[in-house]
Amino acid sequence: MDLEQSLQISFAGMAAQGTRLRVVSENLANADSTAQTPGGEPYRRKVVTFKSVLDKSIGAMSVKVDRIAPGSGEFERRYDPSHPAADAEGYVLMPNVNPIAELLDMREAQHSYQANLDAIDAAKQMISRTINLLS
Amino acid sequence: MDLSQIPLFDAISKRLSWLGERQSVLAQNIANADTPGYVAMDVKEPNFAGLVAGAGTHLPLLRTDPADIVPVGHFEQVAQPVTESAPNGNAVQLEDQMMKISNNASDHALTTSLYKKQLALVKMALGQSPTG
Repeated sequence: MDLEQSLQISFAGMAAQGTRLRVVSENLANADSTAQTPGGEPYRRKVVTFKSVLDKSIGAMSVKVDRIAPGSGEFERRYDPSHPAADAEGYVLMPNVNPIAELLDMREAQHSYQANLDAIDAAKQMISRTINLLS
Repeated sequence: MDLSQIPLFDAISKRLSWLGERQSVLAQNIANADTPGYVAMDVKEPNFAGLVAGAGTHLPLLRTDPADIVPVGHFEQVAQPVTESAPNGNAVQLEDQMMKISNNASDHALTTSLYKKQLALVKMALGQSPTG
């Protein structure tokens, strides 16, 4: 039935946005994770990309997480000679996580998640109205 | 009694299945609101007025054998016109899609209550109490 398909597609959308939120919080949590060894690489931010896939069981384009790729961007150099990861000149590489960009990404994921929830609400209303035809 | 022989009932049930299919296409658009290169789709609206007015003037294909293929009610999908797209090529406007979904839901409410009214009318003509 079409309306149940619609629910399944929305659930897939919510799952994908949920993964995106998870990665964003991973980035935020690791905003200060430096390397342990001198001159090592710190945490590199991750980016989620989506792709639409044909779900053959429901015959519609569903969505799933394509891949979680490392994000580009320069590491910031901070002067801290006493840090275990400091290089010969006393600089430590900091993760390329920009908290403001992450927060924006989080807000966008939240909006999309909400939109999927609203679509589920509409489909549920339509289903219950159809069932009410019996009464 | 086969209710689908009555033109209005036939039109109503076709419209309900069209609304259902449209709902799933709109849900698909929303699920893909962040997919690069995805363009929002919509379902083409059949001529429902013609379905009611023109009923009885054309003869449907007759099934002479149970093995005959029954045409399934699938509706044509069309891409929505692109008004603006994100740098990654995604052209889904969430606001647009939400508006369409709420329109779709209220159309569905209208159609189901129309069905109820029409059924009550038929029951009344049969001499039964319309509520029973």
